[in-house]
Amino acid sequence: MDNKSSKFFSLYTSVHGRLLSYIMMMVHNQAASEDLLQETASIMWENFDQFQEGTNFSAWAISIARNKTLEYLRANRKTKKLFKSEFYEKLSYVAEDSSSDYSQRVKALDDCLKKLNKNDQKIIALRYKRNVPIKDISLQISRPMSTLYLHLSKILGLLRICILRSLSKQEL
Amino acid sequence: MNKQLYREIDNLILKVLENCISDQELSRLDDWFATDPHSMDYYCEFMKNYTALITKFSDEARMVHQMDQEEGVNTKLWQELAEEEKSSPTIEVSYPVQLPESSLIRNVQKDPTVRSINKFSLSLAITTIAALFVMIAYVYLSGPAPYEVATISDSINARWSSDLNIKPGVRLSSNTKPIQLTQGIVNLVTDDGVKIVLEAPAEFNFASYAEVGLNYGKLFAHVSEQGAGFSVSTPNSKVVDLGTEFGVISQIDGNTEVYMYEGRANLFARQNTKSTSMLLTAGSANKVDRINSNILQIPMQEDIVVRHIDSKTNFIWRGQSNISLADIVGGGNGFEGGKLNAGIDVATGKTISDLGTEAVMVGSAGYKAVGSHACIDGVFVPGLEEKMTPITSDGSIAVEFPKTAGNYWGYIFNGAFHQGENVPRHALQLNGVVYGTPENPAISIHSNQGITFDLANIRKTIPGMNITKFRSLVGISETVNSYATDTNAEFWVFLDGNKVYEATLSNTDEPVQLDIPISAKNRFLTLAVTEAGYAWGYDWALFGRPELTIGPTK
Repeated sequence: MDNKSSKFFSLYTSVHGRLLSYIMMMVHNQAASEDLLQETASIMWENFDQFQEGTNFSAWAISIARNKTLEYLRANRKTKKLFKSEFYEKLSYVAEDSSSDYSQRVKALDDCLKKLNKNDQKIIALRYKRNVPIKDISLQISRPMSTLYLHLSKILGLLRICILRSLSKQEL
Repeated sequence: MNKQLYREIDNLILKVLENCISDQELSRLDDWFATDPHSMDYYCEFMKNYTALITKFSDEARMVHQMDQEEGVNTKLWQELAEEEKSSPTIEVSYPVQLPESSLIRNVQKDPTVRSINKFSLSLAITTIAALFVMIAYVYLSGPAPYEVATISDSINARWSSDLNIKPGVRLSSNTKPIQLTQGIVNLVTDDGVKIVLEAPAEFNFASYAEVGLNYGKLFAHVSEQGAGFSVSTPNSKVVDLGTEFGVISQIDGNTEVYMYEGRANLFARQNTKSTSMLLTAGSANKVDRINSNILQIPMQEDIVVRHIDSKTNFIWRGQSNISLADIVGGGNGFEGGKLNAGIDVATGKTISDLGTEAVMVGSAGYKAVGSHACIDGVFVPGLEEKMTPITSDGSIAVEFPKTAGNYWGYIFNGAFHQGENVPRHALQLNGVVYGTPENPAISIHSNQGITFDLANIRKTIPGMNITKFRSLVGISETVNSYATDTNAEFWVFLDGNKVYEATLSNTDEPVQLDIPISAKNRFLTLAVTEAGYAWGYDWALFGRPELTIGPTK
């Protein structure tokens, strides 16, 4: 593969996580996010000749992702449950700045997952590692889905606090 | 923001992500976004953490889910958790997290210091800096240091360019000169668990454990969840895997072909200043044109690259989904090598290459083991014994057939023809289709004959695969209608002596398509044809396209 191609893939790899984070903030749907990420990557590749070396690759990538996600939201306004349009317009810029600390969060998450108790780790693994839908878990153990949602959101809350503290230490 | 609100908002955002939020709950979030100045930051923070979580588990998240009792959550645990929900203690959280203010140090008074520079220290510093520059220059100019990335795990007839001594067990490194495989097939496994099969002639090298460059040759990759993101680069393209199986052919003339067998991948194509890309899905095949790097759709070919080898049995699997029992009867391995019209003499169990001078035979009782082919256990004439006819060489299984005259025509063979005193040799047909051809192989079993296949030995020839079905079209050739008006025969299929099919078919009946499941425990498959009603002549019975369906063991 030639030098320019190698450069693209090197740059893309460095922003991949941040791009996914941005797209997830915008469309709040994992499957749609993955598809939009691929489409964004394809557009970036096809237009890489227009990218000026030395300028901000991440910003360029996010500008393409912004257009793709807003296009997706417009196309799905009638069929999916979405927030108000004004929210996304503002979010599309707030999320760009917000996504810049993504890689530090990934590092913090690793340690924070280990601090969860064993049962909470199992629940997280069931839902996100083995991809067991909440409905199936609730049927298996005969508990209402509402209880599971509450517990899962509680675990996510614990992780949020732990990650915040970890990021605070990183900044000291 | 208080703890109760955190809990509520976290719960609502989670429901948005799980696509189960109600309209009322969505409005609640809309109101919160509109009224709370911190809401958008909080939402972004939640989503960033959530994305980090799913990204961490994203490879495993593609597995088909199943409740694993060893890793599942037991009911007692949930009861305890449910109780805990009711009485959970208050968690004090302050938001936003206040970063400690940095204290400014002002008005620092420093005494001026006169420093004398030690000559030795200076020369050491200069030498160290110079050495550092040399090291940096060396690393910059020589490229990344090579490191071990993959292991040769198996090979069949592999030969390499002259100065290489590569064999199973050898470790390959990244960033080496391209390696040439001049003959044969090799199996590699990367340190990320990606299984690669390369077929000569091929030239390749590894950029890392996650990327292989294929200058030319045929490559198959099976990428597990752990290795997702693995890529194959050719002179004009790059395939980036998303958890899949695919084949890549990099032709010496510069064209690249990609065959997607399972999963998805991204194909990036580039030539000079033009670049294109495409998301590839299972069942699709595409070609990157060498001149203009256009991506063109091409017909899928399931067997164009080798997908699995086993040097112990010289087994080479190209993705074929069937083993031909007709090929085995003809002396082949089920994929190739079986000779047309070759078969087994039920009188002796020996192989013969064509019809003998005496075609009409009087059968004798007793099972005849076939020693010449491990996949065929033996042959027999059914219905001659007093009660049960043995159908395996170890005598462990016998089945009951109706009493027969024991006469039969010819032999059991790979092909479909009949020839008799008043019948010129001609090809047999079912449903207007001529059998005994490469496209439509068949086993001819005139009544009263039977054959038992050894499935255990067949499995040994296809390591890593399992047998799931026996399929065949059965019937009496319609060509008999020119010679006889009323003929019928009884068709039998047994698995380990258990009858799984029995039917009397006549020359006027439509052929029947058999589709019989086979489990991993089944050892013997027996096919037999007996006369119906003591009339054994003109029973030109065929098993058309008799196949064992196979697939990789998951």
